[in-house]
Amino acid sequence: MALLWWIIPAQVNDRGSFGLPPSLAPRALAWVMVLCGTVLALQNTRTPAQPGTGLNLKDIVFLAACVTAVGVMLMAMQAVSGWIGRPYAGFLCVAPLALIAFTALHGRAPIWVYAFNAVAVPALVYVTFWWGLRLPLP
Amino acid sequence: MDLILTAIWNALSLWTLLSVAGGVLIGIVIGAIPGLNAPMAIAVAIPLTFAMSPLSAIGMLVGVMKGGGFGGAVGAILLNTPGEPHSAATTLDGHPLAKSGKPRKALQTALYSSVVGDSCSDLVLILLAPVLAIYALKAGPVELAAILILSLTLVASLSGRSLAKGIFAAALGALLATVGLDLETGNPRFAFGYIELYDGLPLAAVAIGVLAVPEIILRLQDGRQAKTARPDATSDGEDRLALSEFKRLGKPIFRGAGIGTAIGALPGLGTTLAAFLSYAATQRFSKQPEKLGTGALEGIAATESANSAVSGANLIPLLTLGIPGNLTAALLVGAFLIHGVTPGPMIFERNAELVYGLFAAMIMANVMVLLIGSLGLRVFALIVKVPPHVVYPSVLLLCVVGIYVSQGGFFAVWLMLIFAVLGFVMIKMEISVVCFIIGLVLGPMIELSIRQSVILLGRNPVAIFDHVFALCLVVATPIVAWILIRDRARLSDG
Repeated sequence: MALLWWIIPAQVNDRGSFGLPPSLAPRALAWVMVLCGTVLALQNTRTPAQPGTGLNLKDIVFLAACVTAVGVMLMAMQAVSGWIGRPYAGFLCVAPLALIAFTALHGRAPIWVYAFNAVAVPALVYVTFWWGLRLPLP
Repeated sequence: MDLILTAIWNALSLWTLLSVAGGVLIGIVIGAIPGLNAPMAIAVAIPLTFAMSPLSAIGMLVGVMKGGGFGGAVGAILLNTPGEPHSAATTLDGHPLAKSGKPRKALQTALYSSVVGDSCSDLVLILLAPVLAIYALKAGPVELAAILILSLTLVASLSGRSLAKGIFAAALGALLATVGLDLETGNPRFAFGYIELYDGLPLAAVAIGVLAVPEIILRLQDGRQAKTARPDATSDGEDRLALSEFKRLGKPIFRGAGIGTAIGALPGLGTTLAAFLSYAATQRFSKQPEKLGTGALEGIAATESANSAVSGANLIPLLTLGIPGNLTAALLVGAFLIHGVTPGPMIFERNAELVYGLFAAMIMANVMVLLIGSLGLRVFALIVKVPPHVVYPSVLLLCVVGIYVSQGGFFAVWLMLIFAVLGFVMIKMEISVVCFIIGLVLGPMIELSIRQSVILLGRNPVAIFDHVFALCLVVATPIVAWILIRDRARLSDG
């Protein structure tokens, strides 16, 4: 509903159209989504979802942890080059720490896995992209 | 003829061959890792192709698709953990045979059946696609709009458990496809002030965000709860597939190839249906049906040839109408568009050299799967032993880096992260990601053809009676959807 009454009018400009207005497709699709959502809501009231299915608090917390880890990595990669005054240093400085965080999110692992992920994996990615494909990393 | 020979010559160039071989290797390796599958492998490989020529890039992704098909069988046979639903059919006989001391024989049967099934469907594609494209060119915008809507309805009806969820996902995908400059007015839609969004959402970022990252997050989450599966099959010494044994598998292999090709040519009907239908047909015609499910070579051959045959046939609607029949084909559309090529009937006129080169690359990819698969059987058996603690964090980093280098900045990586959240929620709510991606890919085509149709029909709905074929399709769409839903409800009740 927010899409129909707020986002589409604010983000789609119909001026200048000579055929169908540009907002027609988004509006039609939004109505289809509203209709399907209503059908699903009615179905759910008749047959409640089985326990253990759907999105639960545990999933949301884990998803938030993963998104935070990746988000912090991205922000750090963007910022580090500026801090230390060397361009393209973000990946080398941040990727090992990010991989340690990702490995920790996966659960308990032997120390050699942390070491391997922190050293070998970033090195392999760096070599492949910088030297193999000649594509600069952040 | 000169064009075809030039295309074949281009496909046989060293760089294209290396790209195809690299793609096959990536596909087999990623497909063999439990939890990862061919569409994910393609999504991860798309950014690697940005610096390549269109033929090398598409050839590489076709290689990933074909390699991923066989790679999925490796995990299914050795670990009893299918990476994709269709591989579940392979586990029925593949894993019991591997457990009985014949893992090599099971893998060889899967490999050879997969290559034969794939080659058969590629031949059908090569023979049929140019002919069908001639007919497709005769279809106007009204007919195209009707075909596209029917295809999307088919996909929505057949993906996932609920039609409402399927249509919701497809509509969401199509809605997000409207992001960017409007074709008619040039006005931005849903750009939110970001100039980066004027060209629309970057498909690679959305695909990796929705497909790969949520799967990795789910695997990371599973890793905290469950122990990793380990191969429980050791060879008993007499573990090779004899030529006489393979000859006896001819019938199930060609039957599976036929079923897979027929199913792959129709949008929405995926590899899982092909694999299980072929398995059921083999059970029906087998002289010893009781042996299926206990490690019969027939069972592996039937399922692997069928699911591999789907991949080639899937390109028939893609190349002739521009309609992706499944997720893999939708990702290939994205790759085509990234390299400035629009799939559809015009591709045979505008990019004929590329299409015939692609056909040659597909045949080469089959040869590569056979060669690399045969030579690397022992190595691929080791891949399934790589600790998941190494695999998933590394693939997550690769997703981030791949999107960064392909889009040249962090904006697309942030978008990928947003879509990863959306994909995770969709998976948990059992909303089809396949419908979402196909809706995203088909959305602009549907909108354009409907806009053209409205102008062509003079804003008069009755004028559709002048377009009998389109009218038939419009009438058929709800009927087909209803029949499919009814049959599926009966199957699930039964």
